[in-house]
Order: sequence, then structure tokens, then C-alpha cells
Amino acid sequence: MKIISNFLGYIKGRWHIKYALILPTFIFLLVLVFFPLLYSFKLSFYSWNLLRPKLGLKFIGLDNYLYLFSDPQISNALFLTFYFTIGAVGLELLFGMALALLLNQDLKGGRLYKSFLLIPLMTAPVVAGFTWNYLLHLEFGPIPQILKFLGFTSLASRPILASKELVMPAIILVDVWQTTPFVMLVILAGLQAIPIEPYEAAKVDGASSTQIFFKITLPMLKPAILVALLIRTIHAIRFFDVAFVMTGGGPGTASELLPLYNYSVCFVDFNLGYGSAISFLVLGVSAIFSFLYIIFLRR
Amino acid sequence: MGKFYHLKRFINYIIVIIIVFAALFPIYWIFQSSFKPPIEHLTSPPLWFPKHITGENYISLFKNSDIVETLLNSIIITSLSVFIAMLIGTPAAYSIARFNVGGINFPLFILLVRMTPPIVFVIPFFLIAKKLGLQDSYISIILTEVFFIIPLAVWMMIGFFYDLPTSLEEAAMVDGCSRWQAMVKIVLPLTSPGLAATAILCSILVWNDFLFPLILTGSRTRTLPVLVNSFVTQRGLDYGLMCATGVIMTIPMAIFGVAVQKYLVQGLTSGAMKG
Repeated sequence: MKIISNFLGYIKGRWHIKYALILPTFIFLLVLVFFPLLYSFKLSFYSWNLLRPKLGLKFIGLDNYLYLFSDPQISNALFLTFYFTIGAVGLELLFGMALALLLNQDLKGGRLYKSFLLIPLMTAPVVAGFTWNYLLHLEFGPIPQILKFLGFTSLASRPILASKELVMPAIILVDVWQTTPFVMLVILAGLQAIPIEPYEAAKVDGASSTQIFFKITLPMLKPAILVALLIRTIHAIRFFDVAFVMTGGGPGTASELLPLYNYSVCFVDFNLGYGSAISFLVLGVSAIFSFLYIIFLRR
Repeated sequence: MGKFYHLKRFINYIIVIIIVFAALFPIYWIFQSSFKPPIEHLTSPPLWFPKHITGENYISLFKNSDIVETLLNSIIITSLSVFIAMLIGTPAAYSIARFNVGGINFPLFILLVRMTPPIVFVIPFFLIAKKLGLQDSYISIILTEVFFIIPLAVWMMIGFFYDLPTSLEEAAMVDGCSRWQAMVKIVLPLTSPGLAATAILCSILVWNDFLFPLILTGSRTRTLPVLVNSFVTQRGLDYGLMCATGVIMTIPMAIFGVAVQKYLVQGLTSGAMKG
């Protein structure tokens, strides 16, 4: 016993409390990041199909990565992810900015509107997916009715989620509905951090409101816009839940975004070697924006 | 004030109100649908308000042992993983904020983990859980969810600890408190709003998470999002039951979100912006 208490005393003397506090998180993250990542990195050089256990684990070098370049599904998925990211993030920035400018004019009940607008952001993506499936349903959903009322009769009579051209805009619409509030919050925070002096000076100099917007507000908002843009892009690249529930990647592969294709290679075909290689492609694409964000934070 | 000041303000109100209505319409739709009897779901054109308001969807939800079990799973998994993440993440955040342990690199490493797409981790997690025989176990999904939220918990708490002046702890330590005592008696009570906001935001993330539970849980441990997904793929969809489940899932998170809206920006941008 004495040895143990001596030992503890020794550790106590040596080990400052600051290391003890951080140790659990450090070990936890170390184990759950490096071990799994090394494991799937190793797998990405193997061919391994769980549905064909007899073939076993076979080392094939760079073949999985080389196949990424010739796999037509990959170019389709990359294109769709690109399309989705540009479309969704662009619209979200536009609408989020407009909403933030509107709510920044201290309207009565502004806090209440803000609270209401947060609700889509808090909705589970899975729930958002089925809700919009229902809304868009050709017979039982209200949106075809609204479209008919507005005069878009040809659009109202097409099953939107079964159409190759309309499925991606529909998915983008759902994401815009769900995450514009996030962009709004970030830009609103940016707006509220702008000091009042430049506005007063501009008014004294007789600047028009357009001039004030482009010469003062927009430049001062640059950091907030950049934060919203980078975070939204990082999340658009990993976007999975809503599309999975709404379409499962279909019709055909018309909405099979990169993470959805990755999922189906891994957990439908159980082709885990190739699936790991795809996941490193996803990681690579996402990492570009993560590093930009970190550079921004350290600035 | 310009000539059109009042007209402009009026138009702004109208626009904001239209947008709020449009944003809430999908939620309204599942809410009103959850009170419709089955027959009214299958009318074309659809009914914008139930003709006969009924609670039978909620009754059958709470009578359905599958759904009740899944609801309990969601509650257990969310509360335990948030508790563990806060338990180990808060001290780490304190250590980073006060002693600068790990310099700038460790917090940035944590941030990178948060920014990595979950699909990258789900593949090895699935295989490791399979190897260890931990498929469809609470341990594997709870550890995964802790892993999923701990970066957020640490980053949010770093911000709250930074905002707390060090003079209070120092005064307590001059008066003879140890570092532990100063932490437990001074720092934690003073940061309790921050602790609550962090725990709530983490709960929303776990509650709504889909990909990890989809891969790592089975019939015994599945969570509500997985169940909702299985509803969708079923033939002969029960819209009423599904909408009721959606409402039950959304209401607590909507309340949580509104409660922590002051801290949302700080949390969701990893401290780059303050709301």
C-alpha cells in the first residue's frame, strides 16, 4: 500500500493538474481518430467484400484509388455534390443575407421571428426529408396544389422526385429551407458587430443607401460571410440524411451525391476496400475547406 | 427619416411575416396531419386542416411497443452520450482555456475532427464494432456519439471559460482553495449557463443524428431517426403515425433551440463568431 501511495504522491508532484484534466479527452480522441483512420486507410489498399468472404482480404495496391478515376459513378457523384454545394450554399447565402438585413432593422417582435425561423434548423434531417416527401407528393401533398394555383400546371402534374431534372433542385430546396436560418444567424451576428460610426460619417457625407451597403456593410460583413460560406460548404459536402430519406439517390443515380454513393458501396454492396478509398476522396474534398476555415480562424 | 419610411417598414413586416409562414409551413403540415384520421391523408386534393381532429395517431404511437422502445433508446443514448461528453470535455476545455495545454494545435486538431465527414469514420467504426461483437450495442453507439459531439462540447466550453475572468479563481486560491475546489465551487457554478447551452446543443446533434445510428444500431438499440427512415421505405406508409412521430421528435428540439439561440452562433461556428 505504501508503495502505491508513494507512487501516487510522485505522480501528483510531477503531474500538474492541467494534464490530468485534458487526458481523458486526449486519449479518447486519439484512440477514436487515429486507430480507425489508419485501419480504413490500410483497407483502402485492399480488395475486401463482406458478401464474398471466400475471396478474403487481398492487397491490390493503388487499384482502388486508380479506379476512382475511371468509375463513372464517381464522376456522376462528384458532379452532383458540386452542383448541390454551389446551388444550396449560393441560395442560402443570398436568402440568409436578405433575411439578416431585414431582421436587423429592429422590427417589432424581431426576436420572435428569429425564434420561429430557427425551427427548421432544429428539425431532424430525417424528419425534414419525409416531411418534404409528403409536401411534394403528387396526389396527397399541398405543393402540387400550390403550383397549380400559381399557374405552373405542367410542373404540378409531374412527380418531382421521380424526375431526373427536378430531383436535385427539390433536394436543394429542402436544404435551403433547413439551413438558411443558420446563415441568417451568422450574418446577423456580423451585422450587429459593425460599429455605428462609419454609418454616421457616411450619412454626413450624403451617401446613398446603395453606396452605404456596398461600401460599408458588405466589406464589414466579409468575415461573417466567409464563416457562413466555409461552414456551409463543409456541411454540403457531407450532405447525406435528407437525400437518403427523400430519394435514396434516385431516380437511377440522379441524386446519388458522393456520400450516398460511398454509403451504397460500403453498406449495400459491402465493398469495403473500395468504399474506404471513396471515403478518403470525400475527406480530401472536405479537408480543403476545413483548412481554409482554420487559416481563417488563426488569422 | 425618408418620405417612404413608414411604407418601407410596413413592406418589411409583410415580407418577414410571409417568410416566417413559408418557413413554418412544412412543420405546420406534419403537425396538422398528425391529428388527421387515416382516411383524410389519402384525399386528393389534400385537406389543409383536419376535418375530424383525432388523437388516435398519438395513441397508436404510444401503444406501439416498437416506437416506444425506440423513443426510450433515443432518450437513453442522447442523455448518456451528452453526459459523458460533458464530463470529459469540460475539464479538457478548462485546461486549454486556462493553461493553454496543447498550445494552438490541440484545439485545432479537435476542430479538424469536427470538420471531418462522418462517413469517413463510420466505415472503420462499423468494422471495429463488428470485430469486437459490439454491433447493435449501446456501448458502440454511445461512444460514437460522444466522439461525434465532444469537439463541439470542448470548443464551446473553451469560449465560456475564456469569458470568465481568472481573478475569481485566483482570489479563491489565495484564500486557501485548491485548484479543484476553485473549479468545482467557483468556475462551474459561474459557467452553468454555458454548460447548459453546450449540453443542449450537443443533445440536439445526437438526437437528430442519423448516419452513425443507421450503421451502428440494430433492432435493439435503434434511435428515432433510424425508425423514421424505416417508415419511409415501408410499403403502405402510415402517414398519420409518421407525422405524429415527426412532431414528437421535433417539439423538444425546437424548444431547446430557441432556449439556446443566444449561444447558437458561437457554438455552430466554433467560436469564430459570437451571436
